[in-house]
Amino acid sequence: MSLFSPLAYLLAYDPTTNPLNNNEWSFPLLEILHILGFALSIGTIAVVDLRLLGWGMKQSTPSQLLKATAPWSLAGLVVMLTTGPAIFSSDPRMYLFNQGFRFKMFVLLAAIVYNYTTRRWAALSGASGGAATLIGGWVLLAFGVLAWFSDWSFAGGLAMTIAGLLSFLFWLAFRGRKEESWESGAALIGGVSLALWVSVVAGGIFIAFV
Amino acid sequence: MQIAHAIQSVEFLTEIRESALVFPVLLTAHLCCIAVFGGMILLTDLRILGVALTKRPVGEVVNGLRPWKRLGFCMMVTIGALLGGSEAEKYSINPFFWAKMIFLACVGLHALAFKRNVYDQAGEFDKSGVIPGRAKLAAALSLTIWVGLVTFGRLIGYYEPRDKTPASIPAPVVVLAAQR
Repeated sequence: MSLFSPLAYLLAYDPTTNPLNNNEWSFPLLEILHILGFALSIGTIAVVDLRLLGWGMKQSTPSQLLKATAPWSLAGLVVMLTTGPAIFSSDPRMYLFNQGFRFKMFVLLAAIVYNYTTRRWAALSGASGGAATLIGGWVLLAFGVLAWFSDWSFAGGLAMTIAGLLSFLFWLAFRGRKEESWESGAALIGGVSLALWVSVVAGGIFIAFV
Repeated sequence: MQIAHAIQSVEFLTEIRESALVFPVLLTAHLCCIAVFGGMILLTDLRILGVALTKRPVGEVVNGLRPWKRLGFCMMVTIGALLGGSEAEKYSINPFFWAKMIFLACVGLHALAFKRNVYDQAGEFDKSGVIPGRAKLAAALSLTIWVGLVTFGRLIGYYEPRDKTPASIPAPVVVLAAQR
């Protein structure tokens, strides 16, 4: 039984007429753009994560850095999320049954949700009420457990569940606190964010090796 | 060719090539370095060009990220040498690999040419409020070199040596294929 009916449609898709499979240059070109896109997004995200860990551009506050880098992270994400599905279309059936790919999809979803909820809250030192962190934590936990128990990706679901639990704990421990006392919590959030993005890259590489 | 064979016959390089796990793990580390530290280089170049992070001082972007970029570069080159060394015979005849090496040499030349008169003076640009032309030239060249490195790095995997073309397949195989 399939959880998502569009999957059946994807599985029936015959990629032999896909332009990506009918010339020599388009697939490598998309991959190069994909790599440059994630270099831009993950690199700019890492600058803020390192700052949350207390390293790097220390003369700026995390919130200043977040505001300055956010448009570039988003630009990189847009490149990643347009070239990625195009690459996927070259052989959906292979990707859907590939454990590396499944893992990558769940940690990617986790990294994006986490990036715009919990990590954002931490970088802005709780300037907002933290509702987004609660919602983000809930989404991560729900999808994580779903992925875990539905046999889609054990490791991906586990990573998602952990990120969700940490979001909840972080919200419980730090809501309403003063900005000065955020450092230790912010460091944890930055570390988890980096770990999630490294996992996304790892999942991508392992598509070709599992 | 003999040199390449000798390199990849070194015991631990052979082990990397033949292991199911070490090679992809090293590749992952290599790509993560490109993502994290390559991204920092892109960001620094865009700052010097006056495109990104314009509200943050140039000196802070250049100096704050510098130790990280150095660490990343060392990791990238070390892991790259392990990956390249383990497949030396394959890479030594791959034109994309050599193109990448030329771009890598350009990284060194770029540092020699611009370290003192651009990157060591980044703080000065904030005081004067003007980013000089040579700094913008350095940033533009750096962007070009890094995009080139990534491009040829990815293309390495797409090179197929000539002797694998159908013309060199032994005759009986071709006959069998035709009968099918």
